Amino acid sequence: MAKEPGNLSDLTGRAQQAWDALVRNYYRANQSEHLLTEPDERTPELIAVDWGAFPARPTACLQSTARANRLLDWTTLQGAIGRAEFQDEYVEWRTVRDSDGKIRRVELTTEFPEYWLTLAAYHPVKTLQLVARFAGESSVSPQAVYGGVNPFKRGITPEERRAAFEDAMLPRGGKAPWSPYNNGERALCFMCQGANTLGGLIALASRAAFPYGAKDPDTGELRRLSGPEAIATRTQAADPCRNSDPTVVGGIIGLAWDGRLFALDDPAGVYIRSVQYDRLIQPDGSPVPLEWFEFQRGSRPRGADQLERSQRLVFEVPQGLDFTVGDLIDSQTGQPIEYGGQIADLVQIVAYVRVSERNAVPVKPRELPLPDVLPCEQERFCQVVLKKWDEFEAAQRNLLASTPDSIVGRDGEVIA
Amino acid sequence: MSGAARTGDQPADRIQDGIYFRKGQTPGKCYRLLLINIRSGTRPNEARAAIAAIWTLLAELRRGIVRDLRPLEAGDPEVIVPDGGLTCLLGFGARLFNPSLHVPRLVATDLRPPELVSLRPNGVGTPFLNLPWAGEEQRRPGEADLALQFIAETELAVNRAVVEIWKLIDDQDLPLDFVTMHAGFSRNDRRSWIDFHDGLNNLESSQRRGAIEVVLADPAWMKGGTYMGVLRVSVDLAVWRSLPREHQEILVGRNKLTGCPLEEIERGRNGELSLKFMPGCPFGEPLTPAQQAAFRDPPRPGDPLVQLSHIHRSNHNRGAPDTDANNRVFRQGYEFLETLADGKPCLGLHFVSFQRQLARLTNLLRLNGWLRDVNFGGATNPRAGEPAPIQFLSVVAGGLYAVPPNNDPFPGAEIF
Ligand code: HEM
Repeated sequence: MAKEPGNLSDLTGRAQQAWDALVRNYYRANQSEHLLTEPDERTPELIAVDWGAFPARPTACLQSTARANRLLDWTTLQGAIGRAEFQDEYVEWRTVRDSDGKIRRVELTTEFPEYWLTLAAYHPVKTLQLVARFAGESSVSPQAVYGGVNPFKRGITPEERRAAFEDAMLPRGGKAPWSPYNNGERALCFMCQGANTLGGLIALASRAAFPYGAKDPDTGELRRLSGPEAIATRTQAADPCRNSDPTVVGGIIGLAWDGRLFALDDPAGVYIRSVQYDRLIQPDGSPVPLEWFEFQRGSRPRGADQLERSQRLVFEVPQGLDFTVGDLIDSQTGQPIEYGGQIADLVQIVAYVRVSERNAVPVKPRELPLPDVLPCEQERFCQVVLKKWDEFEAAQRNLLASTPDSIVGRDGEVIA
Repeated sequence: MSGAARTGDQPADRIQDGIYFRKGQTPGKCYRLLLINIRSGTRPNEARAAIAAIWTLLAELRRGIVRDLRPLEAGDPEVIVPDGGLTCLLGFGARLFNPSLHVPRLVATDLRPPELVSLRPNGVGTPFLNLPWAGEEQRRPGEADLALQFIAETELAVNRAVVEIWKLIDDQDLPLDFVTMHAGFSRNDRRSWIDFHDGLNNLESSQRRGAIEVVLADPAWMKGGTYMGVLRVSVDLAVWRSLPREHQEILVGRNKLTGCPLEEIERGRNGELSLKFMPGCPFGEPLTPAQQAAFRDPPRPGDPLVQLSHIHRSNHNRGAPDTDANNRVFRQGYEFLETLADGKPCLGLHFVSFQRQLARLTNLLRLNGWLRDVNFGGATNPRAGEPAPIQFLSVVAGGLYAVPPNNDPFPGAEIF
């Protein structure tokens, strides 16, 4: 039975079985003899593939980290648009601001939508409790989480609950999720950007799990392809120019090239490996302590298992101090914290892979012509980023900021 | 984020000389880093004229022309001195952009590249958590408005550059003050003071430009340039030499004599360690280019202790240099030996790296699982028989510099 990400134990009974079936199903398309569906005695060692949480693409396209920060935090009455579009490094965040716009709290999550859909389908009570906890509310209206559907209605099936939850809590038509409990207005529960799924991660790994190589123009010898090169050959289920995809693809090809067997660690997940907390400086000049960051939703290093498997990170200044996150300075840039992305920039994301020794299986290199790797700012997706940036700038000019106190349905009716 | 296109159709770069990244280039044997401040009260046009005068002088020196030997009268011979293959590089430190140190303001503060900051001078975790500043008595300045790097084949050529600048400042009463000078030399045994080969694995020449050339217009004047990190690291040889050879090899990740990468560490019944190096070594044998590359840039190891060695912590993902997540830097360090203190030589590595984002270098030293957790390499919680954490490196001087692309009358002139 596939474990729950982070070693959580939210699922029981049929939910557990559904999760296991879902994970197994993702491996159906795997044709690599290097990639195993789960680790076993042949794959005793562990390798960590890690990358930075701050999305690389908007910066590359906009040619500026400052602009990328603004776009990534773009929030309208429809929710966090920047997140739904561009937070694509298997981690998303929510920036909570005071009425004067200063940042009070930043929450990050690496929880997969598939996991929450399973939870919501089978365990509505637990789902609503968790949502309420993340929103800091004593309880939440089921309608605000399951849309118009009552998840406790007699005879309702898990599939119906799942569909209702998906409709409310995941984006539709390129917009942020409708529900304020996952569009950042009241809470951030799990990832919603289209690329941030477990299915995506497994597809990424299984398509990369071959010893792809090309003749090196300098030496004339066959060498393994790097992540960006492999993606440029269009053999991969990966996007160029992100931090995550090229790093994972390159790492996985390297393992196949070395003749290793490997499997995503069980539980499969994407975790918050570490945070460069001491980059942040308090108004008195001292560094921020690690304790101000709360690691949640996953097992912490303990005993023989020294792996960090948290999927949620909450950062705020403890109560009783007369300043907030917005008063801190990032010593790596000398700038005050004005965007959630600046906190994401402190965070390192990791996927764990279990591996065999080298040359456990014969290596049959798959030779491809060496592709040209386009500079990121010339990639097609930059047109999308630039278009959104224009929209963002236009919206800023027209902004009439106000946050509604009530939750409004799709047709404008007040529902909570 | 992936970088510039890979092959021949690239436009010529504008990266300054003094970074030996182009194919077939080898840095000269002698190194000086001259740090200079611009006097407060200097106007931008005066600063610009002073730097232009220095840059002109250096251009002449590179052609063997010395100011005091210029023909003054008809019939005087034209004296050309051996230039020693001198290269000169100009960098700007964070101080230049600091309006409180320059009244009137020299450069608009918003022209400061976001990551160009002063290294924090003191306090816990400075400049890096496990790579601390050296004691007060050893500390030297590492930051200034301007950094001039001289590299040449002869001591004379680099020293003369420093002295000629002093003469020019003196003759023309330029508003500049010498802060300090750091010297270094290269070793033709390609080893470092800890006796191991160093610089075995630097980036392939075809990959270097992608790793060092700034692609962001953030700010625009730095596009096409690079960033330089300088850390003058003192090495306590007595501590290092107290370790048995096997422990040294585990910490570095290579064989002390051959440079061959460590692949695996077998543990005997009583916990004794037996080191297995990659088969096919040592260097110097008639190896194919692919084999050579494998020893220089070994595959990711599965063995957990080998993963924690210096070479694997500092190249954790062993991924493509043009992906920022891999934090690859182009190293161009020099060794140093200074006056004897307490009967011990004061020596170390004048670490210099060039990278397209300074975060690549600081990430190397600030990320868990990379170099953050240790002073050099090895496990933080060693098991019986494994090397205990050691502390033998400290930073005597350090600074970060923006190295703008070539321009007239000098690189970066447009910001004054
Ligand atoms: C200032 C902090 C330092 C950083 C960021 C750093 C970084 C690196 C990097 C990136 C590599 C190449 C690893 C690879 O790709 O295989 C390396 C290798 C190495 N470093 Fe360091 N290093 C630092 C300090 C030192 C010091 C102070 C010494 C010696 C006293 C040293 C000795 C070596 C040796 C022996 C190697 C292996 C040879 C090689 O693969 O080039 N390093 N280091």
